[in-house]
Amino acid sequence: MEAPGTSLPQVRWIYIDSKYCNHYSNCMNSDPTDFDLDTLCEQALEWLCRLPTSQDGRVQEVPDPRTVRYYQTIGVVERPLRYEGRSARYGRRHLLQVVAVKVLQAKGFSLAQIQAALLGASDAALEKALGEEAVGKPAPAAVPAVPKASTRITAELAPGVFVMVDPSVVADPQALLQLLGRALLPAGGSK
Amino acid sequence: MMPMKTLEPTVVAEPAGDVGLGGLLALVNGRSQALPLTSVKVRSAILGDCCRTEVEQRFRNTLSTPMEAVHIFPLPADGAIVEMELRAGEVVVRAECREREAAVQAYEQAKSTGQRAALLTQESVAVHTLKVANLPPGTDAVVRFVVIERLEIVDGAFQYRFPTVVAPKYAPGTSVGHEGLGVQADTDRSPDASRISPPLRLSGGTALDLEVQVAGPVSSVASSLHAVQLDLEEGGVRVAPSAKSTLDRDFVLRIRAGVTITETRVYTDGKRALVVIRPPDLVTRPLPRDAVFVVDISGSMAGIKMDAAKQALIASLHGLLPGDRFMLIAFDDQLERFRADFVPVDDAHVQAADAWVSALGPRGGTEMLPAIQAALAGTTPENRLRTVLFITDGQASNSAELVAAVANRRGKARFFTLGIDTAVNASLMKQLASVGGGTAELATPKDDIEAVVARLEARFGLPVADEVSVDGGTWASLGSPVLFAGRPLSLLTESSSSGLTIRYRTAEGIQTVAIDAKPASMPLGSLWARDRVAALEERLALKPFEAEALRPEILRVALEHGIASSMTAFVAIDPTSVVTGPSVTMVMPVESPDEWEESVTGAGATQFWSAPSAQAAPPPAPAPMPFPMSPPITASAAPKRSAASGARAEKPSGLLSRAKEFFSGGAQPVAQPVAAAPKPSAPAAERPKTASTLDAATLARTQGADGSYGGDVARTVSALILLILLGHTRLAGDRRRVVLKAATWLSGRSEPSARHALALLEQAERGERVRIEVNFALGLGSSLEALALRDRVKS
Repeated sequence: MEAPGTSLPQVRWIYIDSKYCNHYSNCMNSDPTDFDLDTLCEQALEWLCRLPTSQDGRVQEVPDPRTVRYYQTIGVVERPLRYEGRSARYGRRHLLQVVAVKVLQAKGFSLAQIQAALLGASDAALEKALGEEAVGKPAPAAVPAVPKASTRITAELAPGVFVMVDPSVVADPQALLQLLGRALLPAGGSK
Repeated sequence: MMPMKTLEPTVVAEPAGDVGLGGLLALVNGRSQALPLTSVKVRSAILGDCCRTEVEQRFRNTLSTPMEAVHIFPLPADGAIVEMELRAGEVVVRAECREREAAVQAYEQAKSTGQRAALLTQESVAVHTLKVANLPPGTDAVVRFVVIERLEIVDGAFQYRFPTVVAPKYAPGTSVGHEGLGVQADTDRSPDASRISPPLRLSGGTALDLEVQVAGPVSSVASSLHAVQLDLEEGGVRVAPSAKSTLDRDFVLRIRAGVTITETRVYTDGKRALVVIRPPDLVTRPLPRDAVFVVDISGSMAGIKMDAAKQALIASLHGLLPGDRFMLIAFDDQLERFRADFVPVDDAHVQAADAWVSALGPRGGTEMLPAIQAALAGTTPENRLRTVLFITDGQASNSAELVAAVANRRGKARFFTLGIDTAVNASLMKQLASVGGGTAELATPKDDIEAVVARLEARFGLPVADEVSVDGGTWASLGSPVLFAGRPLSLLTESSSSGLTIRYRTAEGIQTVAIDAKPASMPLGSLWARDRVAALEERLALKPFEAEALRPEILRVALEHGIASSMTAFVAIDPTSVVTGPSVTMVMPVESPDEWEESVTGAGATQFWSAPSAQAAPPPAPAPMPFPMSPPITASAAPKRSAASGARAEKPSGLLSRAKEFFSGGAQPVAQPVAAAPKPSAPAAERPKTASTLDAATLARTQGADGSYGGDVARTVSALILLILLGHTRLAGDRRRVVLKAATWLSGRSEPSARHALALLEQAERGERVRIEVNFALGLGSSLEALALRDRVKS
């Protein structure tokens, strides 16, 4: 199962309207201490949805694998735990790091400030900083099945043109956004 | 894929404390100066042909928990670390040089028991890692170590280069693991990548306090990347940056001694000898060349490095002789060729090549292997010499496979490298040239590139001598070295005798030089060991199947002389200090090198540093973007490149470089006469370029491919005499090739003026004073060259 955000690789900016953002049932299925890069991104997105900071629908950048690799380049996300064949494996510490970067970015801090703050931060410091009630304990596995992912996604299709999609209603939001984007291409896409 | 710049969110910070994130905000606000490496102090002393450098790295723990600080940093490519100590407060612990495994174990043991400890390991030829464990909160520790090296002499000047930052490198291949503490994954083709890739620092810099003392009389000191201050002192001169400096570029000096020391010389410490051999002065018409020029157009070259590389390439083209043929290759992660095969050196081809080069622009990853393979592919006719000039910043992690490719494929070809960067990968440039039978030239993008190339031209062919040997001994570097014009060789051998006999072979036969030894200014054992270890390590890289014999020998030599190597490391443990509680490891992020473009080191630029295949579980190729998220980017002007893939040639904003101009002070490579009163160097004035003052660089550029100026005898004679007056002959000066070409063309002419000019040239080469009659100059017509000559003679 995929989180809605990861099915939109080409949409860089989305608004996550967290009034509709509850616990996802799917995020409880994977081991919270051992996952690949894609799963790391999904878990981070879900975590961000749960955070109270998102309550007023603030801008978040979807944590995608390329962005996480850049965070590795600047050291705010540490090297993987290990490799399984060619696939890097990540754990809870990496998740904490990705979420912390995203939250601080949303707070308006530059990556340079974030780098100075997060290098060498311990797990405990990160957990405490992120707010224990939201993060301290992983959401229990037996969360009663809330209706499936109900994040509303707003994508900017062309400068100044926004579309909001509810993925629990629209089966394939990616295809829809692409279709809409193509339709807009003559207006917003070429000079 | 084109790089997509990650935009900063346009959100205004909320009042803190509203959402339970006060802790995270406190973390940001309280930790802006928390990076562990606080300062680096460097003191170099240059004496004779050697340099001894003391380095002090100071670390501070600003966290509330114990810390392990890690710093991945470069040292001079020819240097050997010979001692180290760890200082904290009053306590000074001297480090031991031990077998690497044992040193690592001792360090880890101390780390786990809370003892303060330091470990220095060599990760590649010139990249090292320093770890300091169990630094208590709020305390400092200083690690001091000593590096010794010989200084190379290039065209009469000592080359001092102290690197301060490991530049980001392209790591091709498929990820296979992550052994080291760096940020890139190890790959099948770059097995060391994770150990030589420090995190990139996004703001601020660590202060560098650097001073170089040069003993003995000095006639000039030139620094191309820093404005410097010179202070005359008893018996020498002290050089230091005149402005605030950080760890963001090499510190480069070219030092000319006051007394010309060009003769072959020998220093001894009673056990070993350091031999500096002067190349013989010979004018040899080289074999006609099949010259391959390879230029790096990867993304890391963006900005003034690219301009310098193109300038170098065009200048090199103009240095070719009639009868040579040439080929041009440009590479990033793809190859571009000017023509499919070699073309003759004539005006039409050279002009077309100029235009081709001018259109090149920076693009993707630094994939050097296919470029090396292409440069050495095919066969060269028996009566021709294949020469390769490889122009690059060398920022790739797969050095082992690159060195092997040159060694295995070159045959009789001569492989030269020209490294251009503010933080050049000097060790790779030197290794490639060493196995390639050529020379490595290191330049900065702020050098006078045409002069650099002009000097290089004197060597771009066959060596003037080979089979350099010493009677009754072997060189520490093994093998049989060769001598190129303008590049004295500095070699070590075991010898207790007070005199040595050197032999080498030139076109005129075997020559013998007997030299009395002078006392050495420092013990030579570790220099000797460094050479031997480097030679054995190079052999091991090329012949891994000999590991069983080579590894014990490397270990034995390195341990016996106490130097750091691939198999030895320095470890210091302070049992008097014990901390408790969990420790945090902080890997020091390092600055982006000066003049590197933000488009390369900024967010979203990761494609410059790893091949697409290196990504773990690459996502399926996304559908084409239905709409652009950033303004459309114009296609590259690079030839034979589709608009889609050429889009990387976007001219970057250069914000980073502009911001850094403050520190560089617009420093230009200006040789400062030392005799003058000490004062900070002023930025260089523009070189005069008026119609009546033709300089040598212009004469080099305007010379035709056949060596003449417009096929006109009078113009060519004027140009040649002008060059002689400017101090250039076939044996001296920066423009030997230009002079040689002009003289060769004139020697085929019967006009009296041509013969007169050639006679003047020979006179000048014999060291005689050249007299030129004004009348004669007036008789050469009114070409630009003749007018310039007349002006010159009048004054």
